[in-house]
Amino acid sequence: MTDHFDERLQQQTMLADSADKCFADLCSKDTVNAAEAGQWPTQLWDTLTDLGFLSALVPEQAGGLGLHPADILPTVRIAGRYAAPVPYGETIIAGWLLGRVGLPVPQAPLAFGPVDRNSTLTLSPTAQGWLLNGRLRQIPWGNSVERIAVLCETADGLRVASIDPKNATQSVTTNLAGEPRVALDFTDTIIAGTDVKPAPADIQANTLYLYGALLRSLQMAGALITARDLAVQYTSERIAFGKPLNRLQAVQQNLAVLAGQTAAANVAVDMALDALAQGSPDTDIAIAMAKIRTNAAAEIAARLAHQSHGAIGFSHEHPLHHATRRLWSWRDEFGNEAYWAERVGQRVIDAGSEEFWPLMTRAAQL
Amino acid sequence: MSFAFSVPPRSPALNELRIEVREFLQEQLAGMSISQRAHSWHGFNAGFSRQVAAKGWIGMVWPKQYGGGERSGLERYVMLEEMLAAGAPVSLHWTGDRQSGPLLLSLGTEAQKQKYVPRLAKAEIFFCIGLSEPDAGSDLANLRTRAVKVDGGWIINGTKVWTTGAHLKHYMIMLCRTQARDETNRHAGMSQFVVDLATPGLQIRPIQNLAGEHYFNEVVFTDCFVADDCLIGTEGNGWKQAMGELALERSGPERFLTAAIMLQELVRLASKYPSQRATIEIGKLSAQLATLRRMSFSVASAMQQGIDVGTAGSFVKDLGSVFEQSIPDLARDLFDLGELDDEDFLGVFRYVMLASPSFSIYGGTREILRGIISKALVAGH
Ligand SMILES: Cc1cc2nc3c(=O)[nH]c(=O)nc-3n(C[C@H](O)[C@H](O)[C@H](O)COP(=O)(O)OP(=O)(O)OC[C@H]3O[C@@H](n4cnc5c(N)ncnc54)[C@H](O)[C@@H]3O)c2cc1C
Repeated sequence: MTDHFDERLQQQTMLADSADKCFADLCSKDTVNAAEAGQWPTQLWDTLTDLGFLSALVPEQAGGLGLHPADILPTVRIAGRYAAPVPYGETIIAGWLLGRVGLPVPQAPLAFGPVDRNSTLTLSPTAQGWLLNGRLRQIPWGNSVERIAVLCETADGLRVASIDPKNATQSVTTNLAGEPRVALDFTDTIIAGTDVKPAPADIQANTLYLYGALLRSLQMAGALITARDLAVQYTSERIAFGKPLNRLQAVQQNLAVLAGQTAAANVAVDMALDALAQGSPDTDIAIAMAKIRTNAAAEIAARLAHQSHGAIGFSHEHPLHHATRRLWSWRDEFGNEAYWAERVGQRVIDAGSEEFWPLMTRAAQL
Repeated sequence: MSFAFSVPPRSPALNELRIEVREFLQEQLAGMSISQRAHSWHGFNAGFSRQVAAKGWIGMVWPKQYGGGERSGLERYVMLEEMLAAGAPVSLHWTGDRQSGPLLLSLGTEAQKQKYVPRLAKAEIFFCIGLSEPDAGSDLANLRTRAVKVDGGWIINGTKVWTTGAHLKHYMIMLCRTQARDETNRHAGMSQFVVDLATPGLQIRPIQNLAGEHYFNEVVFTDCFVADDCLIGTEGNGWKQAMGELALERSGPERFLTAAIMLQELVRLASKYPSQRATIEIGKLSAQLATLRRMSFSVASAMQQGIDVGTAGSFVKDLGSVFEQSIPDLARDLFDLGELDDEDFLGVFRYVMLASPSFSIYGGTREILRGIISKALVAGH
């Protein structure tokens, strides 16, 4: 058990180191700004492709690395640290889903959906294959991805479909961080029978939503680290009243709270990854808790990071907003605190007060 | 230690111990009311402490030679949190297990170890902590209690205050000056002593807390003689020794489980009076609790591996006390207490609400902990 753990840890460390290097080299402040202005970061994306990260969960016989999600997903936290302006986690998860059911996985940006809870999407069988109707909302980079891996309930059960977004009417918006979020309307769009497969038994209607929540939690955990580090750095450099800001007690107290929230959010995300790695039956609760905790940390930490920076942090020139605008966006994607907390709370209440503590010990994977 | 709080792989042996502790507690605590259980960390019960000792759960990690169990720090962690989660009356033996025993084992002479540690492990003797003084709280270096060298020992004069459980315990490990105060180096010239609380000249005066309960005391030393073999470690090195002791104090599960019984009670109320708000708040508290457990577990694991945990404990205690204090505030907002007809819950509420101000004061105030965290951030570790 421990040997296996060490091996796994070693592999994760290798992947993390190489991801860190890639983002550090190719995802600068300018890259992020340019992406927001509409310029796709080709070099970054191609390197991520070449390193195999994007097809990490695609089976080896289909050209991927065939890794377990818990091994590659920690790199999503690193992408979050660098505010990587690409559908990194989305492509990994979409590739996983398509690969799982034996659909082709193009080496290109991908998305998965629906990413909202009240999707009107319907998939119904016809003579030529399947008919797709309804709306996919909020699809990340939905105007530039090559395929969307869609999970849809049909009369014949849950289906996985590989959808070409070019067949939809597109309405492009952006989130608070300027990342594309696209609504796609399908009207009697014909999907070839070969592009639709039954979902495996372990994949449920909410599986993608859970993965989405995990991705955003990981990204937020990373963005929190960046916000903390920027605040620590800035307050050590800026002189006021004859000394660095970080010598002032009020500033110190803010930094400590910011660091505490960052630490807690990262621990919560580790918990979810741990549950995933162990195949725990409580993985859904662990992911829900991670989203609740990172969302809560985002609120407090973004405020304090800005407070510590004064006006410079409010300028476009300073990169703090790359982290904070993403925190404010990501906390509302794939469920806010109330949504997930109601789910966790209901599970706790259903288990009963006597079972509260046993449930807590299981959910934390300790 | 970085700010990452990593956790080792889950060990099945820990689960077995967890079950064993749960079964033990189910039997031992059968007759206790829910409001008594809520007192857990402030529950003094020598009979119970002896039962815990008989299971080998005091000094679990200490060498067998001194009555310990030579078990792992993580096993100890699991045992501790199960005790608190069940509301066991652990107060009498807690400080001895957490800090007095380890201090004696690392700095005591062979004779001291043999004299105190096996009896600590058997719950025959209990220890309290004598740090704070009327003019020395957060600014502990301002302490004045003075020990003067005499033939064969020391004469101590001064006053310790807020000493939890001094009236129920047998020994105090205290910090005082053994040299005149040096204004240019206030940390110099201090030493630690183990003092028998029955020493002539030592007077224990109760201090009632705001709830009218008697847990802490003022301990006055008037020409108290302690023998040479009561000095712990090195004369003059007391400040450093005491700071090492404090590091053991801040990361444990008692820093976020003081209100564990109240949480359990909240779950009961939420099923009796269902509401979406209560469900949501319970979900949020659960997420915080799970996170804190992993942080605390991570520190226990690092300490077990001999890794310097530095400020990690301060993170746990700061976040933990904010969490604990939020629970009674939330409870009153969720379950309109003026209308609530549930004496079990109200008993628990009265205790936790009134105890809650202390959560962010004892063991280092919130502001002091945040100062420590901030300095570590600036230093980059
Ligand atoms: C229930 C309880 C049990 C206790 N048990 C024990 C015990 O067994 N043994 C023992 O030795 N002591 C014990 N204590 C004492 C405890 O350690 C002290 O209360 C604590 O260290 C704070 O000291 P103080 O009360 O003198 O407050 P002060 O130090 O006077 O602080 C008052 C306020 O000022 C703030 N403050 C002080 N200095 C700073 C600073 N540098 N920066 C920012 N803010 C600052 C504090 O954070 C606090 O908010 C106990 C206390 C309580 C409440």
